[in-house]
Amino acid sequence: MQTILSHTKMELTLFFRETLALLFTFIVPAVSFVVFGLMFKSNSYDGLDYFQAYIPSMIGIIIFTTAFFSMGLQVVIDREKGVYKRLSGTPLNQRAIFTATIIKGFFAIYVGAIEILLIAKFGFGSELTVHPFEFFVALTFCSITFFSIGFIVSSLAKRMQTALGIALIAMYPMMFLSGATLPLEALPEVLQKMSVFVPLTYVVNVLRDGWNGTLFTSGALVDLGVLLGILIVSTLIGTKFFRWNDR
Amino acid sequence: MNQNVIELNGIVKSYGNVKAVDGISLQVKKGEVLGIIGANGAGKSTTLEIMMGLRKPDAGSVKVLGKDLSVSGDEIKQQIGIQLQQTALYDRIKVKEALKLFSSYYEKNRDLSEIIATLGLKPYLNKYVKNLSGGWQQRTSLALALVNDPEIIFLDEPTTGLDPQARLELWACINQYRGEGKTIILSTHYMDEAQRYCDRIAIIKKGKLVACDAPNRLVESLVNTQGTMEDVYLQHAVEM
Repeated sequence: MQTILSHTKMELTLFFRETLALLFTFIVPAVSFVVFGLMFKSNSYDGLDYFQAYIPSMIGIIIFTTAFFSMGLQVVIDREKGVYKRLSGTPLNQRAIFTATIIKGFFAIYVGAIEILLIAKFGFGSELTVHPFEFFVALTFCSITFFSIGFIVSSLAKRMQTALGIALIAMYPMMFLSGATLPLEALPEVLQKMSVFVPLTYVVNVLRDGWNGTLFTSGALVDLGVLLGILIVSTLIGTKFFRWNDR
Repeated sequence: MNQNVIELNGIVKSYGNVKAVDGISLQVKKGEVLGIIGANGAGKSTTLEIMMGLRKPDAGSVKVLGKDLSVSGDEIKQQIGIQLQQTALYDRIKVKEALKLFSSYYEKNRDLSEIIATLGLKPYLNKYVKNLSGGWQQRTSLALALVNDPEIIFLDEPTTGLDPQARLELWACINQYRGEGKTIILSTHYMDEAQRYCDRIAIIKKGKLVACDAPNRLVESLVNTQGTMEDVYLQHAVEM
């Protein structure tokens, strides 16, 4: 247990030294939230006000960037450098490394979410959700689902450049075709149809359900079902192809 | 001194169609310094990594400190220290942090301040490992291999890429631990090092152990009695 704690502590220390991770987790979503808030805070989106719609959206972006950059990409970087190979020569087991990576992911997402909530509350004077438990459940479930996708990235990409390429290519549809930044109803019909193939669309919907207290209603079933399906398939793929060492 | 701390028995390891290790049997005695030499791709690193428990052999058995590696791997890892060819550490970890982190993985710890003093790492403790020169990175790797006061120290090409002074300094450190009775197993491309510092040298060619003896005996076995360790290498390890 002490071993897992010290390894997790180190993972978190290293996370806070990664400029790219900090930029994508704490800077880009927060700045986007403020800029969009200043421009569109009086708009409504499909019956929701700006904060009801965009607090969950920005936190959805944090989930994506954490899973793809801080976890998926970072695992590939560490593996390519031989870190896991070196660690396999110590008594530290792979379960401990995996646990530390997951804890780092949750930590980044929860801290990023709190940052957005604080900006909404104290920057814009917005009311926060009256369904904190539902939102927490939605946030945690969506995070786990995206962690599993992050592990697919680290399973399929052998080199850092490949993983970075995958993350950057995924970033555009995730950001702009999921409803996380641009309202889906504002997009051309063809792009709206494409949004059903973007996993973050379902994360945004589920987070909004959690935020607005409709997570445990039949209206959330499809989104929850799709995410559960993604989680199962990703876990199966990750379990089959993921390697701690190069060969 | 006669107790075997490592016993390899007919180990085989393939990567796809390539047989990296092809039936190597070898014993290493307690307190011995064993050098493993061979051409690039001969199977030195794979053999070392099998002994370290980093790779599982396809066939054959490995006993380390009297225990079967496939059964007691976790227990054995508490008692060995390893240094890989690459420094293989996180990009943004500092020397002091790496030492503390690796110490936390083991039940038994050697005094870190003593390791730091022996390896001269004190001025570098707050520097990122990746920003150090090759020689200091290797010293850091060696320090990490020592944090648990291991019985056996594995060093995979510890001096490759270092300038002559850095090599000498690193060997002075290694010799200090040899003086404590540690068993040291290393691979190297430097024949002068192998001859000067190793009690025995194992020569691997195409995954097979082709010779294993004391350096002077290997030199004496040459047809040309004026030969050197490099001639031994050329005779045994190189395809002529």
